[in-house]
Amino acid sequence: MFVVYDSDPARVGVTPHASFENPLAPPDAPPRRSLEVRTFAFF
Amino acid sequence: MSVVRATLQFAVPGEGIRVVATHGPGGRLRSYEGELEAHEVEIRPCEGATLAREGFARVACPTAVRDFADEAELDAVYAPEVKALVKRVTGAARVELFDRTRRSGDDAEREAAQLREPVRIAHNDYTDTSGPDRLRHALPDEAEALLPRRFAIVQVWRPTHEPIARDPLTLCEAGSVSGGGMRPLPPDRRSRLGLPPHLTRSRAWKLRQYLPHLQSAARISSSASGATPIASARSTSSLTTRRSAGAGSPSSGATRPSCSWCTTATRPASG
Repeated sequence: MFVVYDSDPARVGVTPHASFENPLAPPDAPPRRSLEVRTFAFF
Repeated sequence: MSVVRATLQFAVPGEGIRVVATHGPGGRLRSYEGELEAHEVEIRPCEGATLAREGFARVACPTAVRDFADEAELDAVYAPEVKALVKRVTGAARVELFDRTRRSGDDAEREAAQLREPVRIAHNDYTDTSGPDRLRHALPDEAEALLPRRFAIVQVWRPTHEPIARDPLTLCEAGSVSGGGMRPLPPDRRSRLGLPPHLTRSRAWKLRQYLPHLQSAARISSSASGATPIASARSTSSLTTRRSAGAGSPSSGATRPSCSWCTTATRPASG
């Protein structure tokens, strides 16, 4: 879970992220499959 | 081994226009225009991180979902689970889901199921402009009443097949890019993404998704070092993620998907 925006500038609102080519992955490792859900959280 | 050295793509500090354009069916294809630089960073396990401090956290996320490719099941089962989870972890009074994305690193599956690919460039999903814009778009009738109050956009990410070794997700500690670390996109572009340049302080990358050999590693101090530029891959026209005709594979595994960081009893929820 991570925060990608917060309207309060005093709080964490930026969490840069990326996927990367993992140099330690076995050559026969299956491809990544993932699911992401974005939500508004109102306070 | 507790540290992975890997190369990430970053927007280049300074002048220039960077664009992340979405196109194709469902906006699932992306191309990047502008200057990018490849930097090697050290990536460490993220145990102990919290939403309030680092901007991300491993949280227990048990689910009754049996098939993450079943959109109806995601609506009926996963959506309320995520809503309750975000509410509990953030303490928000109200949580609304507005976007859902499945990604696959397998070319054939992506084509067949119209999925998106893992994003290789370091980015944040929203900017100070596109965050409120997204709220106006998603909840047009309520937006003006909601905007004066504090709100956050929180992403819940999980693997649907495990373990993940290829194309894992890594996150940068929020504090290491504070103070103007993000480069806003041009206002005439519709893209919602913000791109962080590779700042000298933005070295503290953490592995969100565990790798098997990192599972037992303890969290290491965030005072990472040694992020050294090793290459410069610049393009003023476009840099499109490599696409090749990879071998096909089944879209659904034989085993029930589970969440790695929920099944580890020694790791309580954090947030």
